[in-house]
Amino acid sequence: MLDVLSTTPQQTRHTVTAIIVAHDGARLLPGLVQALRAQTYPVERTVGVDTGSRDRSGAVLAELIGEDAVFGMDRGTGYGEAVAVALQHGAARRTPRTDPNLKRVEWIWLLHDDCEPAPETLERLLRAASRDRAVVVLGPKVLDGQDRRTLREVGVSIDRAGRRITGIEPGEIDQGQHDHNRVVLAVGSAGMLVRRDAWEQLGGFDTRLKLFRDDLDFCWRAQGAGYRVQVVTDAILYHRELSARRRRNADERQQLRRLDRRNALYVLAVNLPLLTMLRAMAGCVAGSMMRAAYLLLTKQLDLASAQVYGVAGLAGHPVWLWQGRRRRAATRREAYSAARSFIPPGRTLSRLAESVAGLLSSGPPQASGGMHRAASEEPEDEQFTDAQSVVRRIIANPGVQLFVALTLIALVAERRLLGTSPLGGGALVPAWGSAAGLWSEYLAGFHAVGIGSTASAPPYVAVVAALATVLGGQSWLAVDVLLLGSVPLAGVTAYLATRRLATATAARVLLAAAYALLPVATGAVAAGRLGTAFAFAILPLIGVSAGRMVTAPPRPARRAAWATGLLLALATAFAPLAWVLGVICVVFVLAVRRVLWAMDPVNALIVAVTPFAVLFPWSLHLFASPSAFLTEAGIQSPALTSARLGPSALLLLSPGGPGLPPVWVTAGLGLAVLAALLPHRRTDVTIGGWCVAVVGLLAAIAVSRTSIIPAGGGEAAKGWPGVAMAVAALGLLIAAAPAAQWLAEIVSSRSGGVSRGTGRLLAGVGLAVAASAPVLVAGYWVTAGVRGPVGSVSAPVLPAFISASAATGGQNRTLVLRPDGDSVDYAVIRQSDPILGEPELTAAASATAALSRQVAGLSAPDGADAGDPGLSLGEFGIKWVMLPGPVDPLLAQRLDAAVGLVPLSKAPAYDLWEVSGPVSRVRVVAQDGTITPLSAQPVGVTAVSVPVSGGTLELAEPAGGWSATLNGVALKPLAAPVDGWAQGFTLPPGGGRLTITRNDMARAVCLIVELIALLAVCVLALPGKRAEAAEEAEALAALRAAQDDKRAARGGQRSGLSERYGLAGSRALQAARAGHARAGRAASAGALGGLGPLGIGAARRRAASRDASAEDPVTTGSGVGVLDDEDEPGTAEDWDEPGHDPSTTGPFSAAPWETGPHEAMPRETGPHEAAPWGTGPHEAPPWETDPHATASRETGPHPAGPRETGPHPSTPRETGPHPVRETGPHPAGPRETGPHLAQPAGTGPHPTTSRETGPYQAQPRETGPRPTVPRGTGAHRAPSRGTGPKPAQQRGTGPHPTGPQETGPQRAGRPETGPRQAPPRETGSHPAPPWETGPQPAQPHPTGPHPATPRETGPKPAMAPWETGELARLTGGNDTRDDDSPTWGDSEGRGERGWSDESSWDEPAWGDEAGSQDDPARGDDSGRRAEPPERHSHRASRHSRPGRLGGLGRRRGSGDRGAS
Amino acid sequence: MRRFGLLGAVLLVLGVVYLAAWRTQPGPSSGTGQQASQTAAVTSVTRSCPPSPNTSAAHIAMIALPSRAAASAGTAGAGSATLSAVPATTTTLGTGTQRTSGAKKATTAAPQPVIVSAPGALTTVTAPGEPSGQAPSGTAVAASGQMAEGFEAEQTDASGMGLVTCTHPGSDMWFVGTGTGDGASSITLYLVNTGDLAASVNVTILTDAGLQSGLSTGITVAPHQSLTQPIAPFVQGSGAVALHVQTSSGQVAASVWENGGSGGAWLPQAAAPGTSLVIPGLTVASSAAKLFVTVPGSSDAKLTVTAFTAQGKFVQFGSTPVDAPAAATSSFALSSLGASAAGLELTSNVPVVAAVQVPGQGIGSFTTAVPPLTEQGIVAGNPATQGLTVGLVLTAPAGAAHASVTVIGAPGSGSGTDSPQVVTVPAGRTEAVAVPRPPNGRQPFAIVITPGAGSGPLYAARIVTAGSGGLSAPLDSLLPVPNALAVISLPPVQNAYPAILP
Repeated sequence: MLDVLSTTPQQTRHTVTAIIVAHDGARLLPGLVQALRAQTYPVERTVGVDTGSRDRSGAVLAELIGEDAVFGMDRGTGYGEAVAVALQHGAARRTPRTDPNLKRVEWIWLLHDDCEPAPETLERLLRAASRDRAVVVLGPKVLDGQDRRTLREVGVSIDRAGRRITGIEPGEIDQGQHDHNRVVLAVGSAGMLVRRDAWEQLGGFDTRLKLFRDDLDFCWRAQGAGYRVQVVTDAILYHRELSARRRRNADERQQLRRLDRRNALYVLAVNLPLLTMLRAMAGCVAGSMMRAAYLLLTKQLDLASAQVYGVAGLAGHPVWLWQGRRRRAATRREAYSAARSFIPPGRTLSRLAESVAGLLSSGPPQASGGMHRAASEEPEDEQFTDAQSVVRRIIANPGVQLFVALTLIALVAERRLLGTSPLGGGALVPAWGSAAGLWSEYLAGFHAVGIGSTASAPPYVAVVAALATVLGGQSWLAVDVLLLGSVPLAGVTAYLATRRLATATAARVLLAAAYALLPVATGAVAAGRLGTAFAFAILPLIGVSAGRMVTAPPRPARRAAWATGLLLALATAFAPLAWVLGVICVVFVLAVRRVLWAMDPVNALIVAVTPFAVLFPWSLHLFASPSAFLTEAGIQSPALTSARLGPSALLLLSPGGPGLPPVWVTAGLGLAVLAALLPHRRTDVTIGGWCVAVVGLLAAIAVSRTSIIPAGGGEAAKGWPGVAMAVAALGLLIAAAPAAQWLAEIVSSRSGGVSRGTGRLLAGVGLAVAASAPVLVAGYWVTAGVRGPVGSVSAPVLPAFISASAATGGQNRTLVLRPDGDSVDYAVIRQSDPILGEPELTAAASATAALSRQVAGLSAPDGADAGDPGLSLGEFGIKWVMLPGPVDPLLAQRLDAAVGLVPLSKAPAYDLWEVSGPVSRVRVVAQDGTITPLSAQPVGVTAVSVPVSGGTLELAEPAGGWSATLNGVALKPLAAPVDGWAQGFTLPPGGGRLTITRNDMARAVCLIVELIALLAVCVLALPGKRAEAAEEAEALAALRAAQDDKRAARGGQRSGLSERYGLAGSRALQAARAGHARAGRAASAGALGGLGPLGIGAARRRAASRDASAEDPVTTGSGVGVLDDEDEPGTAEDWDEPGHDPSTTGPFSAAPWETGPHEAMPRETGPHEAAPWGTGPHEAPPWETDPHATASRETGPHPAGPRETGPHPSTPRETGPHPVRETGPHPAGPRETGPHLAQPAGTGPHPTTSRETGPYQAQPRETGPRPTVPRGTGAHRAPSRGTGPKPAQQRGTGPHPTGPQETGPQRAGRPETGPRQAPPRETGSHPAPPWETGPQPAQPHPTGPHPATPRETGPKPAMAPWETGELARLTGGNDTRDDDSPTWGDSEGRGERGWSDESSWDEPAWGDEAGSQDDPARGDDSGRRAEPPERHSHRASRHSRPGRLGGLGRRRGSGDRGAS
Repeated sequence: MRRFGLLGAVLLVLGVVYLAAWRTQPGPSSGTGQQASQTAAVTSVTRSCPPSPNTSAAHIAMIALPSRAAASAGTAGAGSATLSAVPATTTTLGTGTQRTSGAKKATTAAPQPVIVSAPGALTTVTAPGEPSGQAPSGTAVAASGQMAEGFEAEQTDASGMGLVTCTHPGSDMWFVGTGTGDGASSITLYLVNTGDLAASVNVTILTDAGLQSGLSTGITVAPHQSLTQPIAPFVQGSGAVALHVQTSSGQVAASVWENGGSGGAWLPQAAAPGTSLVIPGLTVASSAAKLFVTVPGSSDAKLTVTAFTAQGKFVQFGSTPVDAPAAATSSFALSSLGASAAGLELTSNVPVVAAVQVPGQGIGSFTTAVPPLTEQGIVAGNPATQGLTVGLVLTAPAGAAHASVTVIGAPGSGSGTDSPQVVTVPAGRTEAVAVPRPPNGRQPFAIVITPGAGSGPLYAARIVTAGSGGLSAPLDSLLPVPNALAVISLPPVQNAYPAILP
């Protein structure tokens, strides 16, 4: 060996000091020391540092390398500091025997406790070092410590965003593709070999970087000092990267995350040249803030705070930065350009582009990060193979087709209204102007419209403005979209809403079309009822959200409550009646919560109060004039409603008013809905729906019988019951959904109890009758067009020249009069026609009364005798009086006769009069009555000269909120308003400059409050990461325990009916029957994940039977027995025992699983899968699910307990499956054979970890498997990990499995031996052909994209499969069943991928399930829902190899579960 | 069975809902609810009295009767009525050209206005006319405060007999009377502009021969000027004539004087065209009365004329409607009314304007369609001269009417107010009642007719007969009783967006 290294005539002796820094790594240390000893080039000195480990690291280290070479440090010690101190330690300075002929070169080899060098590593590093003296830092190729095939690092770099760049695809398999020694920017500190003189020259690691990036920084400095850093790819190090994956120090996770971010910025800040640094820092800070905002939005507060902390931590220590830069400058020999070539440009954009591309490309969505919500994935998707592109899937989606069809119908029907001019008429005010106009209207505290209003603008203006902004600032377009698009939009929302009620596409389309084509919709369009149109479209979403609220587990339910409140607020903004109905419904649900659904009263309160808070200033106004609750956005007018709406019309959902089809068109639907009561399916849904419908109908009656005087003034009109009827219709459709589903199923001959031919015929007739309503309405609508007052408004009423002159000087106004029967309508316009929402701004009552009096005098015969209304119009700033065409001659005559009005013009479109005399918005009335008009701005007045005479300053605006100053001195307002309404000030004589301003602080404060409320509600309502499934489930269970019990008694009687319900139902039912009470819950937890289509009743029954069976040990026993028959009868008893023991969670959980399998292999996994995908047809209803989930947690938890919760939160939908998966299998393992157990153990963790991806990884779990040498550990791990009594013990003393199982102790001794077997293992693994080759091809790239999940810290999870494979192989050595290993490996892969791509889990799995009942491999397959679809095929083929073990799938599954 | 149970329950609930909807359904008549009209107290009144057709100075009798509500409110003080002269501008349209001389006269010193403040009392003043020798001037009366409430002013003759009501300026007025071909020697239109703006007046003449052109060019009346316009030259000897006075800008008060052989009479301002008109005031002596009907529209009118007398009602002209040609004025001789005072009701298929000429002294007297009395009807100028009988002809075409008739003497006459006389008119009848003059009074007096609560519509005319025979004696003066309002009912108005876009 020496001669190999002798490259110079003088003998060079490399002296290597290995420094091991251990931190809670007791279980890994033996492996490391073993590897050190096995080095082909001896390590001269070894120094161990224990940085305050909580386990026995120090002791283990001392045992292994000797007391004197080990010392301890604080727990908070950074890595660099530990190394620095270690180098001072005696053991590192011990001089070996010296030989003068030898030139000694001192090297430092840095090792982490979680790494393990291959035997030749050191030798090969040194050999490379000998070739180039400039190379002072060398690093090995780092492979994953668990899956030893996966490449981790071949040198690292850092990008401008501070990310650590390895240039390696996540999960990339090492096939030598990166193999060649080369100079790199840096190598990782694990296995880093540094020449000691260079180390000392550079000052070692920067001790301010405690953990992350210290290696990068050091190597960068080495580069700067003229040295080179090289990666030696034939030297191999296995590294688990515990810290980087944050599996260490679960308690310090948060801190680590912050440290990571801070160090990233710090390294950039101190090493980049100044200008580059500033640029990069700016980018990083901005990026961090954006990420923080995003994370905040998704409620990942810890991650968000890490981002903020990173920046703050850096900015908080400018001195550090300065010192750091100075120190680096001191050692720098080379310019930055030397290092620049290693630093890739920022990758943020490219990463974004990649993920977008991934989304659009074929195949399942790539990034999961909580983005795939229920609404975005339709169950129909299962019809499509994954090869189809997103576009094709969209086009083929029935929902999209429905939307297109409805859009066509609507466009044809609305042909008269299409165009680019604003719509107006009826209830609709034309949306003149741009979005900016709407915004300013909404934000203003004082509205310079009419005679001046301080009312809060109705909030729907803001919604329309927001939409208009999105649509390019065209407010008319926003109105068109909302009004004309209401039918298609309602169709889509209703279609989405039916997802929870029915699965049959035909049923869903029918229900959605029936809703969208209600007479309410045509009436709303014809009358220009923007409010109803919007509420109509959004109601189904409220329904969905409310449904989730009453059925989901507590935390999602809370979120759904916020969402419901927010949506309700939106609807309320347009139609306040929605709020009333919402509150009524919520109160109703609360009232029946003991019977039907469990609802948290707090959620009810949230729903009721959120609209108030979000619409804050305006919602007060609602209470001030309660009749406003019955109105809606826009104008109320008697012409738009039917004064005498007949009872038949009310019951047939025909709201009256213009544009309605004949009343009878909905009769068919009504009959069908009534007939739908007969099948008696999903009675809860039906009853709930009918309750909603009756509430809606009663509200409709109340509304249509109430005369409402619009707050903004106008004639009293009966209310229009459109919104109430939409609610009623929604209720009816909910009630009819189960029957529709049933009929659709019969028609498609999927099932049905009636004899086929007749049944199909009857069902078809039923559906046709129900479909008559939408068809008739559509037909009427298309043929008749929109018949109503709404139409395109070509031009504003106000002539352009008036608008122009009104905008200047006196800010004069125009009075518009129009006779309306016996009465006269009038309006005051300032500079242009009113825009959306303006007519609803009420002016002060006193001002309105004063003006009305004058207008009445003006239009009365002999009105002149009651004052001179013509002249007094000037006091209102009214300069012109206009009669828009067609001009009423009588009124025109009276105006002609009025004193003070001078006819100005008589055009075809209007007659116009001018008020004689000086008119101005602001004027000074002198003592002698002289009026001096002043010029003004629309709101305030700036520096205008006033006459010297003084007198009274009159402002033609309602009094209050104004202040005026003359030459800077505040003027005194008049004690009483001028003429009872207008603002006046006493103007002292002398003249000067006058300024009038308005104080709108109150409005600003209100808006801020509103904004805060809105943001808060949005954040609370937005789907965030999914947290603590177990806890949620537990909470829910606690909440509903009593309820369940009650229901159980009732449900038991009905259990016979359960056969009717879908596969899932029966499956869950069987599971429940077989299992113990809790086990049963676990099983049906699968069904839980979402709302099953048919689930409510079924699930209830399931629960009942579950409970019933729980009391029946025999059932359980028998189930187990069957399983045992298949597998190993001997263990059956073992399982039985724990199964009945409530305290033993681990084994206990096994029960459901076992029962599952014996029914049918594939099935067994089925239920589990059900959990994640709520969408599946077999789904259990949400509320049902929860208890199950709880149950599963209880059983499963054994595995997971605390640890497990970590991962779950990160995946949105995962909660269900995890517990289940973990629990079931676990027991299975132990029962079978020791070795197998081990495997599961090994594999178990992987899926979990991969699923968790980095951040949540709990260290213990990780470590568990590892030391675990094959067998035994599984057994003991299970208990320890479980919530069970001894987790602490387990964790602390990894090697000593003190599990309840007999096997535990036996294996206790082995953990240490595990590592030693590594070499053989390694070699053994390579040859193993079956699984190695099989999976390998598949592996490489499918996995690639997946890791891209936002939260994920790195590629790490991808390793899982291989690693497990390895383990499996290991165990295989002494296990007869090593055939299994491939399966295990597979399952790993599945776990990992599934994690990153949840959305695709269920469907393929389900699809398979049906056909694969007899095929164990399939069963396995289905169990692995995580698997991305495209992998499915090859996986399947792999599985179809001779199934080695009947219980393979089960075992694998159990491995999963157990391990986690 | 369970399934039927559910169905039954739902049907039951729906039945209840249906019942609720049915029970609460509003009745057919209940519309959206008529809004109560607002009322406004009269606060300022402008009236214009025409110049005296003779060269003698005009007298003006006036009275203001503030309503109790308004008085108690005490919003306005006693107020005052200001009578100011409106100097004349003489215009003669001989050959279609217009000669104006008013501008020069306006430069002469204007007479001092007369100010009266005596609410509740009858006042008779001499119009502040121009110095004698000048063309007679009109009089503008501007009353305010309590003097404006329930204000009534008439031009009277020397005896205090009201000849013509001072009307308020307007922009659309109708006058219907006999033509030069049937007794009138001259017809004179007086236009008085009391406003600050020049008024542009168009006069349309409809005779029995149809539309007469010649006055088609606008007549401009300068502010605060009056104008006399002879009409006879444009009437072409027609037997019936109607003048439609409209302003395209400004307002004028118009009056029409028809001169007969031995005396002239004012044409009362006719009610606006309507399809149902009531003309009160036909006296016993009206057997030779003539009905003039003007159809302003373009289609012929089919008229039904019913006379309400003390005995009952008689349909005139037989049972079939008579035709009145469009765009023309027709005259119809009324048949005998059975020696009874009467009122006429005209029903037409198209809007018409109508007046009746009652023979009497000189050209006789004219009465025309008037609105029913609402608050109070006042005739300010009634002579207390010996030999003259003052009476009222009251017609109640639909529903029995009852009213109290009060006489108010001039202040200082020692007989302020008398106890009111209550008059009842059965439905479809006309009653003529004599109004006793105030005891011991030799001064002119005012008559106030106040319809009682719940009374049917009541139309009234004041008649003065000369000679013995009481009300059956030949007619000396006939004056439809106008409403004198203390409050005006205003139409309901709403600040509502449909004003802009219905």
